[in-house]
Amino acid sequence: MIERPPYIGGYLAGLRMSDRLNVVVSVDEARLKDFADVLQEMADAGLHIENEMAMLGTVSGSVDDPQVLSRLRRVKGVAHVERCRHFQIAPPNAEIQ
Amino acid sequence: MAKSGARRGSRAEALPHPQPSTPGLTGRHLVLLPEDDVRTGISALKSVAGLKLAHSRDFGEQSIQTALAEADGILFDQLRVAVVATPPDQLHALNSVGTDEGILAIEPERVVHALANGRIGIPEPVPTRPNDTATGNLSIDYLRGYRDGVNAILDRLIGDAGSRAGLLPQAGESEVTWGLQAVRATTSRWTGQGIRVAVLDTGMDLNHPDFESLPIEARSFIAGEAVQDGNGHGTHCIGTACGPLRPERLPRYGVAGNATIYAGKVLSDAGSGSDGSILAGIDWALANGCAVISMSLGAPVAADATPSAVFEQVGRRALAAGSLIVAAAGNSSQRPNRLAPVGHPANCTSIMAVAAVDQRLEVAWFSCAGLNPQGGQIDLAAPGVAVYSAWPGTLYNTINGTSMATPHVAGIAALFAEADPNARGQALWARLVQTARRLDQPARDVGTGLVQAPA
Repeated sequence: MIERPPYIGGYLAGLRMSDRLNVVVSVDEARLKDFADVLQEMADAGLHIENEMAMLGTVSGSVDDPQVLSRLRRVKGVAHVERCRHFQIAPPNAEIQ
Repeated sequence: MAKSGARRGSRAEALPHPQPSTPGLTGRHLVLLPEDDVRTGISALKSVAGLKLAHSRDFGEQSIQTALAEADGILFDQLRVAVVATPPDQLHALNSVGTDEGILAIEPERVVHALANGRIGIPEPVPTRPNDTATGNLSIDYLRGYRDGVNAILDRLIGDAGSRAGLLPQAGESEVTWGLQAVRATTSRWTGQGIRVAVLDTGMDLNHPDFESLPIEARSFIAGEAVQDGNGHGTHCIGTACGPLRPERLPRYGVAGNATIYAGKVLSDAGSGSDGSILAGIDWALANGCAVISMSLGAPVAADATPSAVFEQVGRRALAAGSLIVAAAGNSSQRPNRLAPVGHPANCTSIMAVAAVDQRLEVAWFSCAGLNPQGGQIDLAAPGVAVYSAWPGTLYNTINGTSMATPHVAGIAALFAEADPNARGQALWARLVQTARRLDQPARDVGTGLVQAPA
């Protein structure tokens, strides 16, 4: 029996990266003043926070597991949780930009 | 039509109770409920006036009369408007419900008639770009002449002379780009002085000679990449919005030459970015008091897609903070055969969607259309074909796209903001769409028309 190679380094890192879901979250009006507290509760629910946008009351980050999303939505003060969309503009030499 | 988020403004004074026999009124009432809290409105209708509502989504093919026979009113779920049959005493009680208690406005329902064929029959529009089969033996020039003739007659009949005729004065581009002429940036006395304009894009060529003496604040939101524009797109957009009044080499290509540039790099040199980097850029622009945020970016959406709730909220918060977000409608159409809906995030009601027109002021073949409801409309049009502006390395480049139309609107917004310190957020939005030049094109394609600078 051939021993399977240990899951280390790039392979594991790559797997984890692709499993991670990037999300954006908005906080509702009522709890905007408690923004920092809501952030903490989101982190406790499993959100890896990348960017806090206090002016907008939004946060970007990632979750390891899609099941975290429902936990995140239940945090008091979380208005919307959305999958992060990707943008790609045309290459610089394209006629239409 | 201006797209706007829920507004909790003061309600009009209690309306007189119309009798069912009042000419022009049905005797029913329209009740406007808060967009973000319909449930409170529904419960107010029930608790205050005892009204039970049917939902429009449950009455697909049935008429409103059928629905009203079974309930006291019908709620149009998408509109957040209820039509209710209300005795006068209940109406009085409803009028006392505050705007923050779930009822934004109450007004009598009007009887609306279909327009009969009147004496002035308005003919079907003549195709602006007839294909070969449609033109038959007629030359394009002949058809254009016919169209112009019909338009001139209609202008006289409708009393709208001058405002519809399409073509620009045939000036060259030796001194000023056609786009700046079309939006009347050159005849405006305003230059954007004191106004901060954020352009969220691929950054800025900080070594460009035209921008050496201009004030630029810049920040990168792309990990591992500096603000310096390794793409060109960002420099081109900044050039259109805020390029100098007197560039090194003519023609002039920038609308608001004295505005303060905030260059936010939210797209990489390879032209890619994500919601996260864009939101970070918007937040930065807001924190710096930018009255205008220009975003020549977007992601295509499906037909019938609903807008992002997060960006909807962000747009509303930006407007409330005095910042107007202007975004490219997108380039996914292939006219005349295929129309694509306005992309994300321009499809939010709180974000202004900009279409592209060409030198004949006709919608560009690639420009997305207002197909989806709930914010998917086009708000304004601006020059987006053969747009000359700044570029890294070669100094200048001429390209096409709704990306090029968007900074024209952003620059004009800066002029309005300079002209009137009260023109911020929603008020600035209103100023732009109200003063647009009407075009001989459907609102689906160009919104209220071609953006125009304040005199």
